[in-house]
Amino acid sequence: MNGYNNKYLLINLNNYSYEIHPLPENILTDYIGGTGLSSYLLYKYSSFNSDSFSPDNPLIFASSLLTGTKLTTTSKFAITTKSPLTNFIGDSMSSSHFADKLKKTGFDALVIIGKSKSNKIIKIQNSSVEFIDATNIWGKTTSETERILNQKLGNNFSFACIGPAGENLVRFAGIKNDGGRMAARTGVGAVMGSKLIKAIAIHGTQEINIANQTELNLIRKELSLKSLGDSTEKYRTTGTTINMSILNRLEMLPTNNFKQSVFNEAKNIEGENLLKNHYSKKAHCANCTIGCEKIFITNDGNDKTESRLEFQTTASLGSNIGVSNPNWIIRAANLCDDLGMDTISTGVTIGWAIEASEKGHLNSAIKINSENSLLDLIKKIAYRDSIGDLLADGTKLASQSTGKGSANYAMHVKGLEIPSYDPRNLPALSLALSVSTKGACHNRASAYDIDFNNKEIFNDPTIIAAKTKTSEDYSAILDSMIWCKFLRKSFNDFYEETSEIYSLITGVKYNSRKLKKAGERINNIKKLFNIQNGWIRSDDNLPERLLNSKNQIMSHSYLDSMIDNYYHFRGWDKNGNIPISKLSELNLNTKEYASKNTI
Amino acid sequence: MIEINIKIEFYGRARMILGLNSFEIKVNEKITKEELISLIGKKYPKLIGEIIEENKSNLKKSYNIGINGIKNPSENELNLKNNDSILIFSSQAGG
Repeated sequence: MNGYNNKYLLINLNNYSYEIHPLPENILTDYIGGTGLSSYLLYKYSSFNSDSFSPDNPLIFASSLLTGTKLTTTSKFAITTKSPLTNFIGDSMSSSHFADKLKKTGFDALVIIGKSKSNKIIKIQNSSVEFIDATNIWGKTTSETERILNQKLGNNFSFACIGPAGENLVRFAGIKNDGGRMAARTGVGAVMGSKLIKAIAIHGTQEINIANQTELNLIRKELSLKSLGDSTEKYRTTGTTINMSILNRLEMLPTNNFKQSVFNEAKNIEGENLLKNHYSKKAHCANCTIGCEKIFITNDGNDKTESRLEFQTTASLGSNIGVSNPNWIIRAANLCDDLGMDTISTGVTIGWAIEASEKGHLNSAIKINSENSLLDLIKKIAYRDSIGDLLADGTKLASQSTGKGSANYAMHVKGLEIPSYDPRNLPALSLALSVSTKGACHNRASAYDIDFNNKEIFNDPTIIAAKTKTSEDYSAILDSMIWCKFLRKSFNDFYEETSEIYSLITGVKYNSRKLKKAGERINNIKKLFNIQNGWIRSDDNLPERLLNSKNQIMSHSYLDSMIDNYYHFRGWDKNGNIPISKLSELNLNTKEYASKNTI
Repeated sequence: MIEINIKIEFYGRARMILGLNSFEIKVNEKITKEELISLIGKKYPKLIGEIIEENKSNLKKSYNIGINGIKNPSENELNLKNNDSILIFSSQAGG
């Protein structure tokens, strides 16, 4: 089919072999690419109930239909695996030239299984695969690793690599790529480390066939213009750090491990201040017209450190751990990137540790009262040094090991640390965080949009559940085509326009009904994967702390009611399992699935 | 006509353009959303074309208006009370 390579590369590290497998048209139209295609391949290659660090756990990189078409924001790829934080499906997206080069190798996806016997780099150049000794770069930071590989292999290659955190199996280690990009969430870097793969170097020269290039060019130009319109104005001008001031005003800013929702010192680290006193420059993802990234620089007279900051990082490494010095946050974010760790999970785990220490639940005293105390703790986590060894397992496992009731204030869902929107008064976000197959991710439904942009629906769990399900399916399409979420409001009719683009690229007639069904199918196969790995209804939940405060909308009964309604709209049973009839409706009842299906 | 005191609070880009966090103003309690936006635009013309549409009576679509919180009035009637706060902020997404 045009627009795709129609095959994937399967690498088996147990014997350093590789095979090329076809991707049939029905799989590509059913799962599209990105998170959809990688979820399908994860399901196909997984041995259920094995440990996430087992060689059996596949690590999958998938580009998408749109990758390589030069449509704005589409140089993206998904990494999917069984998450070491949740033991359920974990996926993480990233935007960089790595995506384009992956597609130009002639493969739509890369599936890595097994475990190497020694530290290696996987070098892929078109259909040629080499396994190169990585002894000399094992232990290096992500920036050092990329610099060395760039010198060694040349800048025709793009690199995806892990830092010390991934090597040391920190369960929230990410995969850095293409000089500053990070697929950060769910511990994909730890899985790569468990396979003893330090980096993937990739270079391809294959061109993608487009069925109707002339029409697509017109749409590309129109979309690029729209991407510079009002709906992306915030991202182009200020970036996301300005979320902090309004969330603090609305009492929705996680503070001190979600104990409070207002941070009295937020003024120092809110975007308005950062942009005034720390702004360095703007940056773009590969092939993006929006350019949302803002790079900030320290200004305290010590060494000049730069880091890209987003709101989530300023809050997780700021208000959530009581830090109000922007210079500390810039250096901490830079350090997390270099060590290869997710800033959200790092901040939330430190927040838990501070509280556990204050309550006497930990033997170590943890206080963040200086920049060095913060940077030292981050390093200890990355290297699993002393208390860092416990924290490197994330809040769920750390609190289970610690006991003493510390799980009550471990701020995660299914093991994935909660991002920095306090959901106590955001019911759609509460529901989305609790039912997400990935755990607490704000991007798999973008459900805060429902809370912010609808008038007075807070008391209607039915409407919230219906809208959240719709938003989840919509996000699955965004993450599978792959469009950047910041572009989403540039469409007049997202499904119609995206279907038309699909048809123009592939030459295969597609329509909005099929596209919506694909979104539903993708969320269902993710759920199916989780069910096969032991998911039960009580896994769809929020931490007790978020359900029992005064003066808030969220409560146990309200969340339960929303979940009941959500399962109903999904066509699942009351326990959240997928009936055979629903599997049939979504083409998930064929032999391929039935052989693994225990429902 | 009953006059009430309200506070207009700016967040994000609006705050950065004006260098101002908030201001207080007396308005008719029956003031509509369009009338209020026009009033703000008249007082702070720098916001027109940036935060406020060129027609001067609507916020640009990437901005929200909240009354004492995130309540986002989709209708023109605001039903304001004395000492209400009107929050003007960018739509929330991402990060």
